[in-house]
Amino acid sequence: MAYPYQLGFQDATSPVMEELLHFHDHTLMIVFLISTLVLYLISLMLSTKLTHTNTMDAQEIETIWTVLPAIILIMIALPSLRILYMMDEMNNPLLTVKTMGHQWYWSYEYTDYEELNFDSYMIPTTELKPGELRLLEVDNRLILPMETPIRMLISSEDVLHSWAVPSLGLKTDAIPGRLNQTTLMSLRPGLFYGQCSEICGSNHSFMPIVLEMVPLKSFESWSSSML
Amino acid sequence: MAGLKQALQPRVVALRCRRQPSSFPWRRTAEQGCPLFRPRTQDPSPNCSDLTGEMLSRATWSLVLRRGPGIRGTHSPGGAAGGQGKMPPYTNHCAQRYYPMPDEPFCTDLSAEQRVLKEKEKGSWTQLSHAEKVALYRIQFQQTFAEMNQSSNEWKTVTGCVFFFMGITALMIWWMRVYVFPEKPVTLTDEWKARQLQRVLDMKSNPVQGLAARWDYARREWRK
Repeated sequence: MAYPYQLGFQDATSPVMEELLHFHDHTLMIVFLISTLVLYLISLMLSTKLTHTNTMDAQEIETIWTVLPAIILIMIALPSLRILYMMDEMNNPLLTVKTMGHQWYWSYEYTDYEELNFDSYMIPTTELKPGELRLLEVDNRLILPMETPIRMLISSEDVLHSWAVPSLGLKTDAIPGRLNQTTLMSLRPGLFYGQCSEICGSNHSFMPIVLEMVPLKSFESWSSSML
Repeated sequence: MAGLKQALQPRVVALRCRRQPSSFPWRRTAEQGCPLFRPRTQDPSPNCSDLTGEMLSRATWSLVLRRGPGIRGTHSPGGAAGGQGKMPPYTNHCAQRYYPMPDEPFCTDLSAEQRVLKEKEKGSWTQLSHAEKVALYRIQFQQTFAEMNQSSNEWKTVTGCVFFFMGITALMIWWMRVYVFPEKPVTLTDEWKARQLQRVLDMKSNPVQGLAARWDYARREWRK
């Protein structure tokens, strides 16, 4: 989850998120370069003693500052589209989990083999155990096997919600009457936190998502214990 | 040359030529320079019956806009002492820093001596005395370069006001902290934060570049 005084993204847990981190670094560098250049030019303009304002013709620089931005935009667009298509690649998920958004909790359904479903409510601040994270802990976590591709089907029972887990690079809207799909693969075990990302009423800030990625054996024993 | 330059140093620009005096006291001064007050001619006659319609609209505007030099005028070089009779600088006769050589001379209504001087200017310039050269300059231009480029003390007023309002905001926030804000949640106490940090390190969140990456698990201390 996020840690205090964090500036950038959380560390990537899935390969797609790693790609997104690198893309962000690349694009942010371009943005900083352009901003520095513009700030420098503004400071030059504010501190000049020159007063000539009637230049009529400047073909060379006009050409440069038309072509150069086009090149920069292409340099941003190509990696962006690459990642976009990468996210849609076939990955043969081994498990399908459905999550339904409600006001104001998430419910998860594992219906591949048996019927297993449960609700996931936020733990109120007054009931937290010492050391737990405020507004992020839930009573029943979404337990999934790590290093396996998983298909998530996301929808809603009432209003719009959005199922988001930043460290996996996931954010998918939960729209009533519609089934949205996203794929999930975690390379590390552990707890990964997220929060509802579409305004859905008074407790929109209080319906978090917690993924617990465990080795396949642990997942199997857990799921059989839940049935 | 040095004497000439000294003569052209910034000072209060007194009225040097016969321009429109207080016939139209509702006109704004040169320092305000509102472009809406465009005079029909450079020297409108005191007989202003033909300007009635325009006058009415300008009279309305003068109710809305404040009279007098204002803050900007107070700080500008000639502001506090600027005469009421100056023409608003809307046409190009008034020099700006980016348009230093205006099309028309500043004074078009010359007195007798000034006309004599203009005739003398057509001859050899070495015949002109220092004072005559300065007079000719003043006929042509409203301000010298030094006067035009003079900076003002406006920044002190602006900075002062900014700090003043920052101070007011700080007082308001302090009052709110005392009387409005609720208790902080228990998770912000030092003890809870310590246990939280321990839990976060135990679950190795952000082990690549984030928090857990900075903890040395072998030595149980922060990495140096």
